[in-house]
Amino acid sequence: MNPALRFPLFAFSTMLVAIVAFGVARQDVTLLLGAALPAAASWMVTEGPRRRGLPRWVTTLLVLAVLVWMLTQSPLQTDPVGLASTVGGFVLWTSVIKLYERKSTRDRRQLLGLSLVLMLSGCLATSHLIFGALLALYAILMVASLMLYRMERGGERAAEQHRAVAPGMPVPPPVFGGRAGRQLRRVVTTGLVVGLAVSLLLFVLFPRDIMSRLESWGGAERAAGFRSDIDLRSNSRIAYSRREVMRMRWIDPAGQAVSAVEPIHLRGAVLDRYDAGQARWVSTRDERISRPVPSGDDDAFEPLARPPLDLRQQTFTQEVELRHLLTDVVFSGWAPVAIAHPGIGTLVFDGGTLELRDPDWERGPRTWGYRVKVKPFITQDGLMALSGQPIRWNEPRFTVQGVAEEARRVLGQVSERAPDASRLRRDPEFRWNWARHSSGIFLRYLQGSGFRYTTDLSGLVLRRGEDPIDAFLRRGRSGHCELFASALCGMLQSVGVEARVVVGFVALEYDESARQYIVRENNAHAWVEVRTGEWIWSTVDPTPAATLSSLADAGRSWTDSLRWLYDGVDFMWRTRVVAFDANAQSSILRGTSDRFGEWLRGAVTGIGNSLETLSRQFESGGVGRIWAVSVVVTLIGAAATAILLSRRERRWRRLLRLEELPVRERRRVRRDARFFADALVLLESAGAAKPDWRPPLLHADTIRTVDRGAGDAFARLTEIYYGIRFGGDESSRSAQSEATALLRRLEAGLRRAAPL
Amino acid sequence: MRRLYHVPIAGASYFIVTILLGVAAAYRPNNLLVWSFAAMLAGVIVSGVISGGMLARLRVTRLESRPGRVGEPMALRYAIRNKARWWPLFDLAIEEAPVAGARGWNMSGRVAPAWLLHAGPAETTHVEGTFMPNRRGRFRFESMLAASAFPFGLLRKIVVVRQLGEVLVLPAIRTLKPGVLRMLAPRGIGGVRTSSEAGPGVDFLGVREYRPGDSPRQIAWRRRAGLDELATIERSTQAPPRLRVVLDLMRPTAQLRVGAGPDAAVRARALEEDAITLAASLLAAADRGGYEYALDIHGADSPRTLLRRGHWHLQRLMAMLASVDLDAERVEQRRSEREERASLVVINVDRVDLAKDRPGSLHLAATRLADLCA
Repeated sequence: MNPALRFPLFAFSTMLVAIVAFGVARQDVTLLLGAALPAAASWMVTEGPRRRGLPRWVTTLLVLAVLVWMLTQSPLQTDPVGLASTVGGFVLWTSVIKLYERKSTRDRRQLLGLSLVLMLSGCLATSHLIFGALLALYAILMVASLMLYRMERGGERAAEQHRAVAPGMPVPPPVFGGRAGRQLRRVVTTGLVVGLAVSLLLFVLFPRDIMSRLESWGGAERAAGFRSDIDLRSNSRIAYSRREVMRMRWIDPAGQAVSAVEPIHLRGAVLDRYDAGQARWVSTRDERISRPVPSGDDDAFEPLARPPLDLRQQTFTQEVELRHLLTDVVFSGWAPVAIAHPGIGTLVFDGGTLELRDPDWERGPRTWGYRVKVKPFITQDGLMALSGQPIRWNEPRFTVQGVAEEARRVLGQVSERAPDASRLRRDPEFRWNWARHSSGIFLRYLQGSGFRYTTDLSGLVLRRGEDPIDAFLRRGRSGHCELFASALCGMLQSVGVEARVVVGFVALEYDESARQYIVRENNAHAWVEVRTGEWIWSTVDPTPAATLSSLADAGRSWTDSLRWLYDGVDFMWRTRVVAFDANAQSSILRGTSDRFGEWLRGAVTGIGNSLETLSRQFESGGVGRIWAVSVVVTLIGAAATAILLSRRERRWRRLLRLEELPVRERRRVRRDARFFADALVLLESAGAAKPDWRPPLLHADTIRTVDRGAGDAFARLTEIYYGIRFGGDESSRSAQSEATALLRRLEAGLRRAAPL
Repeated sequence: MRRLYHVPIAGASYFIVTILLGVAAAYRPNNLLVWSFAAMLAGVIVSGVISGGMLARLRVTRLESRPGRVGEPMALRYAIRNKARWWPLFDLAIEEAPVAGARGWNMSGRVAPAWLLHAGPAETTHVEGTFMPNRRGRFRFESMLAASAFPFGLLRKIVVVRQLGEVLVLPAIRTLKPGVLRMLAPRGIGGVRTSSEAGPGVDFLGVREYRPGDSPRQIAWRRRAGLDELATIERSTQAPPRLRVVLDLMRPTAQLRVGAGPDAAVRARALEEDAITLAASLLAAADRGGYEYALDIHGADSPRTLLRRGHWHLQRLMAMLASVDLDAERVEQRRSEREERASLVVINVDRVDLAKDRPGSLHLAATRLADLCA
């Protein structure tokens, strides 16, 4: 069958995959279904029984209409990503229209070009696993389509040239051999395998230093799903995604992996100051109480406290395996006292906030796991050891007037009022009591029926100049954890309580079979820590635990049982492809060169040892030399013999056309009909080689014209050969003897005759 | 075998897009762009590997072709042998390389390349190209170009295979009007005549003794009356009419009377070709009519032919006409003294040379070609 006949189907499939991939890249289901379904239906219209299609002038008008519509809806953007998205949208609808056109080979080629533009636009828009899988499928279809296009176009061009030279004459049909389809599949497969290997090599070797110097596109944080600040004017943190960000084992002091009674708050970043102008919580880190935590090559724990604390008592171990998180923050529960982080490099520990960070996370080697020793019930002495020096009291100031008023109003409801700042400054005990008391009042207020937890903030529209926390407290009264935490912290700070917002994750979901917590993107959380002692910060979470659990359960479905497979592949996709960077590149190259170097050294040493052994064998004077020479001569002779035999074998195969036969038959003919190959060789050397196109018996007639005896001998040899090859005759001894005699006659006859 | 490379527009565009993609991949920290760039670059490498593997063990042989004829397409056959053990061949075009000089095939007409869709490993396949000659003569082929842009059309790889060859293009044949040949042939002694051989004719040849199996209708009953034995009348066979065509090209092209003008030489040459065409048409018509015919070409170095008939005789005479070199010096012909019983038609180019007139000959001018042909 002519394989080029499949070109229309392959071109259509390639285009369809590109359309679906673009819809996936834009993460727009409406766009996906709105384009893919009509595109799929176009096959029945244009290639179905009736074979209809739109005339070209109609499609041209429609394309112009799409262009005008797109320009009016989305003006040209200067940002490359936005521009690519606009161009991709235009190309998408143009492609759908062109699929309904009556298509020639050139039109299908145009569709392939449009599909390439769609895929490139999709590459700029996303790095999702599903898009990557569609990209791989697209590559396979594109390779096959291009090859089929070449064949189809070649035939068309040949027909055009024939009609130009001989109009009116029928065009010769395409000539193709047997198993054309199978051999084309072989070429496509080879091309794909070689292409994949080469592109993988190029991908690994592609220099990434250029990219690492440029400002990050936000790709890392977007891939992480975590931001170490709170921006109340955007809701980028809130995610429904159930994608795993880390796995954590919580090991009790007895060494058993257990689940905690309450959800474990994994602290990420501590934010203690509210920038009212930008509606952001930021951190005012005191660099004086930050110190480095070196890393060793082994798995030993580095103490964070000075002096180091006893890790045998009341100490839990937190083993973290990151899945998608790419951030400088090291997540740990309260309170981290030691960390084992092989290969990470030097961490920075803040004694005041107990934060751990990796300052070189972008430049240094990537790590995907660490272990932290945690003391949930740490004593004052322990906190002192972690801090290293007294933590001064900073009089908290919260500048949003509306929040302060609301705080006073709430206090007034319970007949309380905010104390003087001077008293708070003078009396530490009173300060700590007031902190505990006021945090309880505000906590009950926020957890009351007047407030509702929701992640949908579309109902809260900020007025001009209005602060989000103020709007939440006095108008909206519904929001997510960031707003609840911000409100609690804001109210506490406005009444003189030291409070701070902590962002991180909360571990809720426990996998009994694996005995570990699974932390997902939708477990990102914000809560408050209140200073209730000289060295004590108490965790106060305005989000009830029941609400947290229900949020974690939201979106749970039957697909969760399959998520382990998807998450595993997605993890590999993210780490090996999306996050592949200069560090991974250099570690691969370093590892490869180290292993290759070791192998090479081993090989060289082995060869040296063998040579030494060999030379010792030959150290026995003249006898040894003779022995060595004879060994060398034998080896050379064996190699030459092998080469000669191989050449002869190839020659026989060529002469007897053995490649056309199955393997078993090939062996039989080679064994029994070797005489015929010898006869052909004789003819070649005598200058009477049989042309490939001439049958042997006819060639025998030609030889007879110069020497009858030689011609007769060759004819008889041909008859014997035909019997063996096509007749299935067994080669008996008498037949072999006869063949040998005939060969001698042929040789003698050729010697007598003049060259043909 | 020499190899040539040609980058088509599609290939150049591909390379440009690949370079732009590389720049974009370096500029944007997006690994999918890097993958796409790597894949496109790999496509170039794969394209080179596949096309190189395809053409590395290719053998092309031009097979000998039969003579062609002016105005009729003729097939140029090629044997394509794929000696590779593993690589198949796809999308291979075979075309003839132009030849410099007046005897190059490209001076005679146009060739449509042969095209091969597929040839498997260790397979030999035959394909045909089409040659449409518009001039008669002997033309040379020097080398063939085997070209393929498979698999992706990025690069067109051409293998030049040198093989000398020649093709003979016979002159055009036009159909004469009905009655023209009958008008020419029965003149004089070239008409149907009786031969001296026995055969199924009507003329009396002789009497012989009766042989068993003879038809009773052929028995000479009158003779039988006087003898005791039977005798059979033998009839003679009919000899076909005979026609000798003499093509008079003694006068050089420059001396032909075709009027003045810048294209006088072209018109003169065209007139000579018309004379050759008329001669060929006459001979072909004579062959179809069962005549015995022969050809003399005055002014060219060609032998006098005997009166014969049959396909090979016609082919030989056509080859003589095809081989006439009008640019060569005109050769003086010695006139044969032997008389023969055949009609004589002399074809002159522009005018009759009465000095060469023979009794019973009929003179035609090449200018009458259109009148004589249908």
